[in-house]
Amino acid sequence: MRLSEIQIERCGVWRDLTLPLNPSGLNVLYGPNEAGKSTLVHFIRGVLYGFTPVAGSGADSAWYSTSSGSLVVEAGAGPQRVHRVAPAEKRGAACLIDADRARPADEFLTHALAGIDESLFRAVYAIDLRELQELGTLTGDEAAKRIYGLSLGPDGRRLLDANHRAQAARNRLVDPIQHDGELVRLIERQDQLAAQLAALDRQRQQHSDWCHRREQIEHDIADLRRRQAGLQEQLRGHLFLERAWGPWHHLREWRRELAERPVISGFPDRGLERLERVEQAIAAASENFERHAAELKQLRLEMRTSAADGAGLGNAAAMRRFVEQRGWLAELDRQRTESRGAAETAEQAFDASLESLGVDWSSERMSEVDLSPAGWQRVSGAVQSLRTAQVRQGLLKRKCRRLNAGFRELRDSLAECLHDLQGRSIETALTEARERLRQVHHLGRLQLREAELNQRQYGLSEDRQRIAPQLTLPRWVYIVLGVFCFMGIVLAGWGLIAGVATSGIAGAIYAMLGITCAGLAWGLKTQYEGDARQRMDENETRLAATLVDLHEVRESIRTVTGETARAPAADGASNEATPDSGDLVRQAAERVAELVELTRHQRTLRALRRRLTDTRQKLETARRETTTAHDAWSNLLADLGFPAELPVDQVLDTWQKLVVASDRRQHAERARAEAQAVDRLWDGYRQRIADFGRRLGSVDFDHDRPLEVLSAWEGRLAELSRLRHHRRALKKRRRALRRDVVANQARVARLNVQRNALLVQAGAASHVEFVERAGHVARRAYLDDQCAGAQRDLDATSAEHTELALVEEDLLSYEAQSNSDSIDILRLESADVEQDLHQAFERLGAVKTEIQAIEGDRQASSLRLDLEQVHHQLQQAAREWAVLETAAQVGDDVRRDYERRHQPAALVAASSFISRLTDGRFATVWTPLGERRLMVDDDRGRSLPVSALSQGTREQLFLSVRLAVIAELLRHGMALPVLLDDVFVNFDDRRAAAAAELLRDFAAEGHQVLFFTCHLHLAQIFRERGIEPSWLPSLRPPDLAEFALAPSLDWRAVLRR
Amino acid sequence: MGSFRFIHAARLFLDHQLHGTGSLPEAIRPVVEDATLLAFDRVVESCLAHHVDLLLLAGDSIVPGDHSVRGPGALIRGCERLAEQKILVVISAGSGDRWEAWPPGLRWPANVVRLTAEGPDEVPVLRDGRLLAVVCCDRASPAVEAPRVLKLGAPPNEPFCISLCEEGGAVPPDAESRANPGLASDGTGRLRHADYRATGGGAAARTVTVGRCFAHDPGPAQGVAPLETGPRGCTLVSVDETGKLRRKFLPTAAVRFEQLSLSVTPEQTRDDLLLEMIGALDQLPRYDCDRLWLVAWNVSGRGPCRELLEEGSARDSLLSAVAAEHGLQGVVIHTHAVRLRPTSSDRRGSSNTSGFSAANPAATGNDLISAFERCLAERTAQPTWSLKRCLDDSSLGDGPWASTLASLIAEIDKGDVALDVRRLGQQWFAPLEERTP
Repeated sequence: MRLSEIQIERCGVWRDLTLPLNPSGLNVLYGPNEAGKSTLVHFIRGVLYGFTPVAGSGADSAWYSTSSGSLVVEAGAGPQRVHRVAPAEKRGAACLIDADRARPADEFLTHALAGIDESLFRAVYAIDLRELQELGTLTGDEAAKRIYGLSLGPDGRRLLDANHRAQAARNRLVDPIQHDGELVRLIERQDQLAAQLAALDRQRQQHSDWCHRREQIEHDIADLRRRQAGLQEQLRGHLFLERAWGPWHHLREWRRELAERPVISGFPDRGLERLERVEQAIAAASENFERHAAELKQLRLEMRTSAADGAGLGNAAAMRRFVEQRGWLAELDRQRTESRGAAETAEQAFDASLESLGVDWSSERMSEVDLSPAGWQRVSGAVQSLRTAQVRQGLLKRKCRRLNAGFRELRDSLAECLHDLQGRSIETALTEARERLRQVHHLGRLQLREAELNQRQYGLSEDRQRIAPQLTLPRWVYIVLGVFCFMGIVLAGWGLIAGVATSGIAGAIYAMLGITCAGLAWGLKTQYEGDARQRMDENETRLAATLVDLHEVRESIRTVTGETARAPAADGASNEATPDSGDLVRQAAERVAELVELTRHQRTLRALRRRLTDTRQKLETARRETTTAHDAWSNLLADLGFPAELPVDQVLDTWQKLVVASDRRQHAERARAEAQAVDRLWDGYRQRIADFGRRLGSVDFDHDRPLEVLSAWEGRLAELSRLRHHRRALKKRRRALRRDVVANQARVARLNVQRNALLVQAGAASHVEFVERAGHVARRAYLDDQCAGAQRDLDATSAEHTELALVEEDLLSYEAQSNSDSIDILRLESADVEQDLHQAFERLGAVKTEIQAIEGDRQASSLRLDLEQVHHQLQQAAREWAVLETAAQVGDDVRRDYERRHQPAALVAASSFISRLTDGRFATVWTPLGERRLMVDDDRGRSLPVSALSQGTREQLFLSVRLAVIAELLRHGMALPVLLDDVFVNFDDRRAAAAAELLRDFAAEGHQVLFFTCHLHLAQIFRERGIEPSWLPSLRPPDLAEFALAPSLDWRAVLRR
Repeated sequence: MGSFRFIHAARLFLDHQLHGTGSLPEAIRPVVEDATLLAFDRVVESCLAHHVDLLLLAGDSIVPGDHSVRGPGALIRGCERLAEQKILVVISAGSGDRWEAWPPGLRWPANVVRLTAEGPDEVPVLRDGRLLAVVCCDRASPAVEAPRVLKLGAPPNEPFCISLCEEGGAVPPDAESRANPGLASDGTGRLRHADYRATGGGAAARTVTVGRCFAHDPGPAQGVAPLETGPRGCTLVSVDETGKLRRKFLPTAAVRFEQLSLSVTPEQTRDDLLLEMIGALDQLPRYDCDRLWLVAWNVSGRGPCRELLEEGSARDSLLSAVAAEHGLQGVVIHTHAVRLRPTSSDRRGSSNTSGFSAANPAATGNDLISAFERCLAERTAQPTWSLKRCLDDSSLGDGPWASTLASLIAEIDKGDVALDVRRLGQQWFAPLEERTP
């Protein structure tokens, strides 16, 4: 693939730059600093692979704007223009631009780039000063590795990269030199955790020790408890003796006294107490008898006095019944008055309602009208139907008027627009407008193409002017060639003479020398002029082709312009000059938009028409419904007896009044009936009271006023009741006194019998004797009780100590003081044992706490989990290491194979290049067998490693290896332009000149080389070797002193800003 | 014979750490540390709640290598709680925790009977002085010694017999032993009938039933490794008056390992993936004892969701969302592993589990990848190839960490390593545009 032209529309500092290139040879591009050389390299790479932001361009907003431009690429069948537009921070899409269309360039680029990806292009075909400077910063070994990697070519570099990545990853896991890495740290952590866990193993022994100690303490506690039990036994014995001796001693004394007292049998129980109680009761009963007898006598006298008041009690029950109904009778009287008033009020209300209806209405006519809820439902239903129909009809009328107005307005405006179309339909006008828009777009493209061809024609003309002087050689060349020819003829003639005169051989030599000089002069002239003529012919051919293209484009423009000019003419626009394509596009687009709007209006008008028709139909239906409702209403009025012309509201008002009057009439009838019933009840009751009064014989009362009669009867009843109660009380008291007198007589007799029986039972003849015998009996009973109590105490003491027995000898020999001393001693010993036990329990508690602490310690659990997690991480890391190590070993296999197959050819080529670059100072580049480093042999036969070379020689070796790889790739059919950006800056003059010649020859072998430099002397070196540099403009004003070195430079020819 | 109930548990592994959990947040670490103890607490609670008459612990109650006294201490405390309700506890030592390996000096409560060589052959199970069953010590597996000669039915009028192996035992695996799972030895070589043979030591619950005889292993009360997925617990056995058995699984594990599979597609979005993951979690049964689920996702398929699960921060964000939005109340979800299964193209490139066949260069379109895969295939095809040899060939082969590395890589599957190596080679030698995000 080769580049024949760079055309930058916009990229970095460049705008509208067109730069022709020599597709088959060396192109030297000179420009001062900041002229945009690196931007050119970036642009070429960007068009081929996509634009990327340039490192260090962050502050320059130009890099963030759109980049666009094209390269003319020659690959296979003819040149193709590859164009790419990349918005800010986008790689952009490439397309191929033919004469009249653009198409995707992916397939073409894939073919042209021969599978070389961007990284390979950067790594092999683009060499810049920055890369050389990076090489200078590396140490000897690093530089050697870098250059060695270069010798392997692009795939070799990727192999080395992979190896480095694997090595870095493995070092991250295990670095055997630094003794560091993730795996190492994990192993150390594992060891630490294992050591901590091992240290915790003593917990198990401690646990065992504490358990053993717990056993010992519990054994001690058991011994102490046994001893404590023995002491308690002795103490219980002494306490038993102490408690038992007292009851035993009293029992013995009381039994002795009992034996001395006489035994009295049959004495009444509590005899003395009973005798005194009987005697007191006899005295009290006698006194009561006398008192009751006197009181009975007095009571008989009182009863005789009150016996006369018994008359009038026979009719008291009937009189009480009448008196009890007095309240009800008063209420009845009140009701009678009220019901009469209510009946009169209801009658008056009904009469008022009847008057409000008018004179035509009477009670009989009201009865004929159906005023029930069903009747009201009929009236209200008819009214609602009539009103609904009227409202609906009104709404539809308003809607119809509104739609009609809108329809007329839209129709009028559309008619004006259609009038502008001069009879054409909107669809036809829209199709024509779109066709015109497409033509205008086509015109724009043609104008762009015309400008491009003009530019190309201009460039070719200038090339022809530059080549034209080269058709004839300078005068001094002809003089030299003439001298050569003359000398050749002279020598040839001299040879003939010498051959004839002196020696044939010498003559032949002279003749040959002469012929050679002449031939050389002729050959040089022919070659030089022929080359220039050939370039002139090629230029002419391309110029002619460009002119043909230009003619065709202009014809097309005229054709299109004629068509587009006619179109505006149809619209009344001026066509005197060629219109601007942008304005035409805008006008055409506006026209299309207007027509689209008209189409929308037309659709709206149709929709309005449909809605208007529908609304009119609905209005007609509503009218019919209103008529039907009105007929129904008229029929209903006739049925009710109302006038047909009566308004609806008046009918409803009359209906309401009728309903009210009907209710009032019913109410008056009910009130009248109720008043009559109350009157009847009142008269009946009054008659009954009068009859009863006459039967009693009371003539002092007015029986027409029954309430007053009843009040008098009530007072009489109260008096009779009080008298009856007094007589009952007197009778009751007399009966009670009679019973008491009889009872007292019987009680005195019974008590005397009891007193005599007690004396007889006690064997006593008198009260005194009875008292003496009772004293003996009480003392014996007391002694028996005491003996029983002492015996119970003894039994209880024995029961509490079943294991102990009472021994008579021990009780007889008991001494209280001695026993008390023994008890004190035993209690002291028991307290000592108790204290020992308490301490033992405290120790046991402490031991148990320790055991619980060990059993509850979770440190070991946590450590084991840590250890497990570290082990898990170790497994992961080990797996990662195994993968990396295996991959690295496989990668080494691949690299060895690759070195064996690819490296020798590249090293041969690199040897040739380094020899030329160093004028034979270094002749051979080679690799020791099985090793991965480069050696360089110098002219004295010494083999030097790369690290032993100077900085400049390293760069020359770097360039040699790079060119060798490019040559090797060319052998495999991969050829791309080589971009060299000031790679000679560290070369001295001799080696720079040698490098220039090497590049020239390298380009002659079929490589396209683009050499960028900002050094004038390097441009001069190339110029001296027949390579004319292309001079890039600076952003600053040009330096005229520099122009003097390039007199043939025409800035306008290359500068397009 | 009266009806009664007992609980059969095994492999308590008290105070043993869980394996393969990966790094854990501090918030859930205490639960993981105490997982086995919490499971045993749950067993004790179940005994009390179901009013059982007997608790059988069929071996592997502790791990002697842990040298833990916390585990045995917890066991004794649990037994003391059961002693308050007069619940008998019969413990047999497993093959991994023989009695001599237990910490000395432990004080067993009175309700605990340990099956030892010197201990009783039969342990009666009583309630109010009434004999309910007999736990007999199975000192030699009859399934091994006399598998088919003696096919004894249950002798009449004998109490319900529970056979518990002195060393935990295991469910007879083969068909012959299935014939007589109800035979037990009484220590004198005499065989007797057993209605229920309690075993342990298995990684999962297992039962062999012949007629009315059972041989049952409840599995571990708490899973301790990622492969022990699902709910873990003990077995509640109810025996009615006629000797008929009913078994019921009682979950006890507070921490549960789960492995869930996901299949991603190129059309799937992050939200789809999130919903699928939550849905997969919701489909799992949930128990009251669950407090933490340690989940491993096995991902297959291709697409952006797979890349999302490969990348660190995005994956963490997704897993956090899953943990936050799942519908399981009271359960913490923690993802301890995301395993990306080989894609179909990976599998096409591999010929066996230990290596690769030569890849088809046309399939990759890259000479270096082809060469790499060819060399990898040649290397792995060698019968002597192993990760140990890879270590020996490396610069660490004779280094100070060689032995540790050797022990670690011995646990790694070399087939998986070969797959990763292939993926790494494709990553190294992929064209630039494939590597550029």
